[in-house]
Amino acid sequence: MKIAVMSCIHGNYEALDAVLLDIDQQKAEKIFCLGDLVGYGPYPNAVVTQIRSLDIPTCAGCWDEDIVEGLNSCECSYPSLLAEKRGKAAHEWTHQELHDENREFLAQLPHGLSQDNLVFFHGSPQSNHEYLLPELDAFVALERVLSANADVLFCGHTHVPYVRTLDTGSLQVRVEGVGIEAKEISFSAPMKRIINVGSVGEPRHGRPNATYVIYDTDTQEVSLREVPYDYQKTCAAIIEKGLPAIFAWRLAQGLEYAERADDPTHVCTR
Amino acid sequence: MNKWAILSGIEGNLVAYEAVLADIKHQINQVEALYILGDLIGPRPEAENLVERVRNPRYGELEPLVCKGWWEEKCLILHGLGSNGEADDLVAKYGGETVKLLWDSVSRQTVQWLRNLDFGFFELDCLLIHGTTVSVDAELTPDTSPLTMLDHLSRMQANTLFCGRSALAFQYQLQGGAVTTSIATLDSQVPSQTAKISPCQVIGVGNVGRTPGEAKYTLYSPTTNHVEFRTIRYDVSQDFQSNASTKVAF
Amino acid sequence: MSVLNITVVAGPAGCGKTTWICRQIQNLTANENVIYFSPGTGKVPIDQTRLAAEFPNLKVFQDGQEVEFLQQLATVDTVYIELGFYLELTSIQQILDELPYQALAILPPKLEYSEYHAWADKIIKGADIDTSMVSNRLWRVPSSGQVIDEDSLQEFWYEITHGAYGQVSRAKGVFDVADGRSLYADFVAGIPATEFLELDLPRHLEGRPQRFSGLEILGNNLEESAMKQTLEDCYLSEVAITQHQQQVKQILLEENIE
Repeated sequence: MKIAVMSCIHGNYEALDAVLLDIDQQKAEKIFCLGDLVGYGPYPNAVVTQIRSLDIPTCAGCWDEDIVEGLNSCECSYPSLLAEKRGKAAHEWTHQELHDENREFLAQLPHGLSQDNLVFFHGSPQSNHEYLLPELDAFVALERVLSANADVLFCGHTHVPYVRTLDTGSLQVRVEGVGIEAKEISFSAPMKRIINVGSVGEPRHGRPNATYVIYDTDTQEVSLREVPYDYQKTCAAIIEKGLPAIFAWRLAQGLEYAERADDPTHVCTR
Repeated sequence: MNKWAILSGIEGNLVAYEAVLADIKHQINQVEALYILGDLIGPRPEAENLVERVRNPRYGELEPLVCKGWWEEKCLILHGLGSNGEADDLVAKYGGETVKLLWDSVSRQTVQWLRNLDFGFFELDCLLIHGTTVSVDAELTPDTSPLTMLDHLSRMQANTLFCGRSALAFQYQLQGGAVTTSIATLDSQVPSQTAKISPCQVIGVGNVGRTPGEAKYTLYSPTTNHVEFRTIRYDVSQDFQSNASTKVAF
Repeated sequence: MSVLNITVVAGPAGCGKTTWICRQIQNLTANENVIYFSPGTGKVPIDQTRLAAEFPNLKVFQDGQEVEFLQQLATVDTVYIELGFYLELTSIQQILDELPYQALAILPPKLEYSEYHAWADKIIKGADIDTSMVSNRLWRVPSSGQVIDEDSLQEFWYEITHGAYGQVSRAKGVFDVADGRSLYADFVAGIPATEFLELDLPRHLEGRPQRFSGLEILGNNLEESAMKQTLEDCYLSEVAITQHQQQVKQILLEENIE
């Protein structure tokens, strides 16, 4: 069976529309969404309404949680004072714009989803604020998948898609202590994968196209999909609706609007 | 002068602490640092005396480096100064009598001192902490999975993690390991690479005050990476707690 | 009385006038007295600041200092006058009157014939700038007294030089950043970007700096109010400035002790 997994729509209705059309053409039978439906983009309500109307299983993203609780993004994800100011402006705008029933929908989203040997989280199983970057230490990456008791971990949050395969993992351990008999332990893990599905609405891979993933549960084949759409419409809406105008330029360049995932060793404590 | 003495779980047991200090003195100037990884206080009437003893080392004694532990956290919560968490588990686990004893045993001045303690220490390539960097509650034991141990070491880029939450004295050595990793992105494919670990370890430093008559602590040589677990037996007749009519079950 | 050498350097924006003058001054002996004058820079004397930082003995003049400049001519051997593209070549007459000078033009290699060719005594090949782009707007903003968050500056500079605020052919600026340094930034369209240059000035760690900082942008369809707002968004608050300066002082103290 083919499933489609998408994430980080960020109020970009045009992009979502194009992705849903592509998913249809790819003949995926089920869709999963990894959160961040709102934030930065000009149509948060339309996006939430669409997701709800199609009954797409969705887990909570960091922005969804923050909007519900009235918080701002974690400081550690802003690379500069300028980015922080822009991010706060986007939060404020989204707070004002979001309808109550959509906020309530976001409030009841679960932390993660699962199906058979697949799990779905926005950031990581541990936290919505953790960036699982491709350069993350391989053993830490393996720990994240194993901690969720899964073979494949789907995640988003970084806005740049990738497929990471972790194979033939092994560790040799020796334990001893007071009142503890010395023993040698040999640990091994079968093949695991982390699949980052990128972002529909705020791509950061240098091009404005939306990205998402098609996964075949029978063959385990992964397809990183890149979907062009009329991003100029989103740019125009950003400016017209009073969001920081620079977002329109950054969308066209495929750059992050404000938050950036920089350091693969950083573990966000929030 | 090349060893660290690392203690945890004194839990207010002054007699046990004195026994350990005497043993450290017997190491004849080999110990250059004294760490106390939390659970300095505990629900004992002499907890305040212990704090005073720790904060005022005698001539020739080392100034202990103290970080927060589980009991410190619970005490702060009781006084409305906790960063998060509730005291519910404290009541559920130990009962109301213990909670009251904890409240009575620790002065407000000491509570302020506890508040300003570090969460842990990072020295050379070693992390010294009560639980883990994720939580003061987290318990690392000989049964913890190797990947979890490695994760906690990686978070601080440490080669050795000293902890005290489990109260056990153990050395958990990750001697080697490998994993093959490959990445595919929209525009590229990074071919398979093998990532290996360099040897690292988690050390449970034992517990000083919980077991009457027996204190365990750890001596560590940073230059030789040698770990020694010390078990000190002391006279319990001087120990207030074991003579008290109400015994607290841990 | 020794002979007074006056060289007037002109050329399109970004060709390398200031850089050429810089090299000449570097080659002079230590006891030669030199003056640099760049008229027409208004309240944003970026090049003067850059040269004064690099050559502490250089006498530097800007708009409003014409009288002092002429007076100082008696005390020096060498004078460099930079004529920005925004000045008429004939304007130099008004400044120098009858004094003799050498007219030097620094031009892009592909420029075949221009007013510079008729005017100059000597032509030197400069940077290969994009000569097709005709820029119609020069935007200048002083920021003296402000301290900028360096990461924000990098972000803002990237946006300016990649067309976020209009088509930019030339941009330069001097900025005071949080750790007390003064940074010089330079961009010419078509020329590969370079890092920010740290000016050889003492670290300023005592509140708001008194020295010059500011930005000059040449281009088309410039979104000036958006740029101004973004620049202001990069400024640090009083509290933040104090905090950063305290931290840096502490670090420097510790380094000195070691």
